[in-house]
Formats: sequence, structure tokens, C-alpha cells
Amino acid sequence: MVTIVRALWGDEHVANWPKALRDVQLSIAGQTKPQLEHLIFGYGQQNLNFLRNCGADAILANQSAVVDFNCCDKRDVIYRGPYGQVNYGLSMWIHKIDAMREAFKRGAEEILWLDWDVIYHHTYGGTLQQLNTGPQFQGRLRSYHRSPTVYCGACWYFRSALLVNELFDAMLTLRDFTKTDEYVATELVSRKFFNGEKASWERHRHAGLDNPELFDVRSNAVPSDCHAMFYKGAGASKTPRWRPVA
Amino acid sequence: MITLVRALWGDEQIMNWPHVMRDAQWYAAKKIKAGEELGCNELIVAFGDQNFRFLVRWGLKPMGLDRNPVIGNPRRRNRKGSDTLGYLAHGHSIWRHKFLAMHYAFECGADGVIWLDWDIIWDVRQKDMLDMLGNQPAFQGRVRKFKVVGPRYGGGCLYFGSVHVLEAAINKAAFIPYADDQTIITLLANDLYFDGRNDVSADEHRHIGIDNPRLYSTKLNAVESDCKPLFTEKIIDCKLPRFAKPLRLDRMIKRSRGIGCLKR
Repeated sequence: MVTIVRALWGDEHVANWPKALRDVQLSIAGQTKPQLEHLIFGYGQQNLNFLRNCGADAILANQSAVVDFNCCDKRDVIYRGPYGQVNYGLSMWIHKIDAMREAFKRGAEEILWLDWDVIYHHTYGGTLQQLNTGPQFQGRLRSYHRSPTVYCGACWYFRSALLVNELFDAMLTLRDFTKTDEYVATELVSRKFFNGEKASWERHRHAGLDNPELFDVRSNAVPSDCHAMFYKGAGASKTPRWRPVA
Repeated sequence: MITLVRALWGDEQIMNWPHVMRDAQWYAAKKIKAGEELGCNELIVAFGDQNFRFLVRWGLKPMGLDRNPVIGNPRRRNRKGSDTLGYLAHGHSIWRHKFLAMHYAFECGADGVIWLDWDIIWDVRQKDMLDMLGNQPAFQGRVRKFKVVGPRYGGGCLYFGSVHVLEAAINKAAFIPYADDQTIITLLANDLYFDGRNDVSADEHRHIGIDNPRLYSTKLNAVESDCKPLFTEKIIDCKLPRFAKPLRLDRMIKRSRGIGCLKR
């Protein structure tokens, strides 16, 4: 049984936190939802209250709104990137991995991570059960203009707690480098499924890792005519860009 | 000197708080500030420590007016209930923060204040408007037509040339706690300029100059005008989602089925 996992973290120091809050509202207010189990985690009491006020049956994952996972205490760093993430190292997205890890600890067997702006396609006719027949990780490859092609972090399917734990460890190791969760996950997938070889994106598709029926992003690396179950909605408009402040 | 006033209040229990925070981010991200160009003061007021830190973090210089993010609320006891946009959680008087921020500007020595919502943007082509405000009525705004409640002053941009007029609005808000700022302002204008008549047409407001099309343009102006306004309302962020039913805790429990935690 697939469990959908979502989480809310951040505070007033994180630039895209208001956007996340609005995406939460839009997501919960949306009428069409897949009839699946959900696990919703809130980091910090305020985020938990917010989720509950919106109507979600959320679970407190951590008392802190931004968890310092490897205790390097970077919250006082005055530099910030255009989205505020460098305050905490780019690995602020590690909360996502932590929430997935927590879901497995709570008994989930298969999990589907969804960002708050990922929307269920209500006309989708298939079921999520078919994910069970594919590989342990499934996502959708997205090609960025400047960055390398990576698995879009908005929608991931995992059937292995071990793989999630490895991803978590990798995120901790790479915390000080400019690696996003998408980059780390893509590296891990290449290592696990292609022995570290840089496989073509068609091979990812062929192996079922790049699953066009699962999720549709704006810039798919390998196009497909398949009807996806989830797509990335516009949600709230983008967070404004900031000039880095030294 | 005229002071442009903006304020941020609210907390996680207010539905449009994230929306306002994002509007504030967009405002802070913009390089051109009206105050610098128009030669007037700008005052940004923060209610609550968290809102203060938020504004500071994004490069603004707010004044902290109160440590509480929501103050002076007669329905505070009922914060658990909320309307589709969340404002009923605090009574409609949540908008009183706006008046309090303007009053603070007068206390700081302003001769006149212009209230601006975070999504009200200055038109850079208009640079010589503020001088004329002082020669006109002590209250100016823009009448907006609503389908259900009739014409009301839009709450996005308001000019007060006298602290006494503003205090009259604050007193009115205290006596009518369940009216929003737009209703309060409209009632105030009717009291001040039309002897309390409630059937005043938008044209009459325009005629005596309190509906000022050069000050501000809303989405649905009651009386059209070709004037170029000083400030306009921009759709910076998409609208807040409308919840199908009023959110109350007992209903939330029902709503949360289907997004509940893992059942064993």
C-alpha cells in the first residue's frame, strides 16, 4: 500500500517558507485527492499548528522548525542564496528525506513523496499499485537549462527504507557542498542501478526509474505521451529572487 | 510631511498571513521604493517578534509596535473558528491593525499618512501627486463596487490628512467590531461628509473629492476615470484558496479524513 508523505518545515528566515505555506493551503483546499493513506509531518510547533488549522491531521516530526541534522549550527550564517537556502546549507532539503525516513519508521511499506505544489490529476484512470512492480525508486527526470539533468525532487517513489537511509546519509555527507536533494538522489540512483556509470536518460526510462505515468514536470528530460498521475501545479507564484547578502 | 505606511501582522492562525508575507517579500525585492522617489517618509510597522524578524530578514527596516502578532481583538477567545479566508478567527477587527499602524505614524510626527497594502505599487511615472493631497479633504480613498454590499472604499490605499479623522475611524471600529476596514471607512466618510447618510452614491463621493482617482485605482472602481493613479493594486501573488466550508475544529476533524495519518 502506497503512503503519500508530505512535510512542512521552515520559519521566517527561510525565503520560500511563505510560498510553502500557501502551497499547503492550496493543496489542502483542493477537492480532488487520491484515496490513499497520507502521512503529513510538521517541523516545529508553528508549522504543525498551521497544518492542523488547515485541516490536515499532521504529526510533529521535530520540535525545531529547521533541524540542524549534523549539528554544525549554521543558522547564524548571514549569507543567503536567492531562495534563502544557503543559510542552512543547501541541504535544507534534507527535511524531505528525514520525513520519508520517519514514514518508513512508522510502518509505511511504499512511500510517495509529494511537494505541496504537486497536484493529483483527477482524470487519471490508473492506480498506484503498478508502482509495486517497478524498481525501488521511481521519479521523473527533469532537464534544467544550466544544471545537469536530475530527478525532479517534487515526486519520488521509494519502496526501500534502506535506500532512503542511504540518501539521508549522502545528504549529510554532502551538506557543505552545493548539492541539492535532486542532485544527490540522481547520483545515488546512478550508483545503485547503473554501478556508478553515467547512464543515458533513455536507459533510466528503460529501467523504469524515470516513470512518465507517475509524474509530469515542466521540462521532462525524456518526453512521453503518457498521462501522468501527478503534475506540478503552478500553486502560488514563484518566490522573488534575492541578491545574495554577504 | 506625508508618510507612507505599511504593516505586517498575523500568525499561523490567520489564513491570509502567508499571502501577506509573500506580498511583503515581493515589495522588499523591488528596488524602487516610492518614498525615496516622492520625497516622503516610509514607515513599516511590524506586529509581533516573528513578523519583525521576517521583515528585517528580507532587508526592510520595520518598527516593532507590539510583541503580539494579533492585538486588540475582542473575539480573541474564538480564534479557533475561521471563515473561508480566516479572518473571522479574530473578528473582522483584524483590520484594525491597519488603523493602529497609521496612528503610530501620526505619533511619529507625520502630517498626513497614506496607508498602502503590500500589493499596492507606486506608478513610477507619477511623481508630483502628493502635494495636491493636502489641499483636498482630510480623508481620501477610492470607492470600489462590490456586487453584494454595494460601493465601499477599497482598503488597499487610504489617505488621512488629520489624526482626528483617523481616531474617529478607530473609535468607529471599536463600536462595530464585526465590520471590516472597508465598511468602517465607508461609514466614516458618510458620517463626515454626508451627515451619516447610508445611501450615498459613488458619484457623490467623487464629486466632493474623497473618491480620488489620481490617488489609487482598484480592480473594480465604482466611478471610472481616465486619470493616471499614483498607486495601483497589482496581482503579485495568486489569490488565497477558498475553502469550501468555514473551517472549524470539529469540521476539520471530518475534513482531515483522507489525509489522516497512517492507520494501523
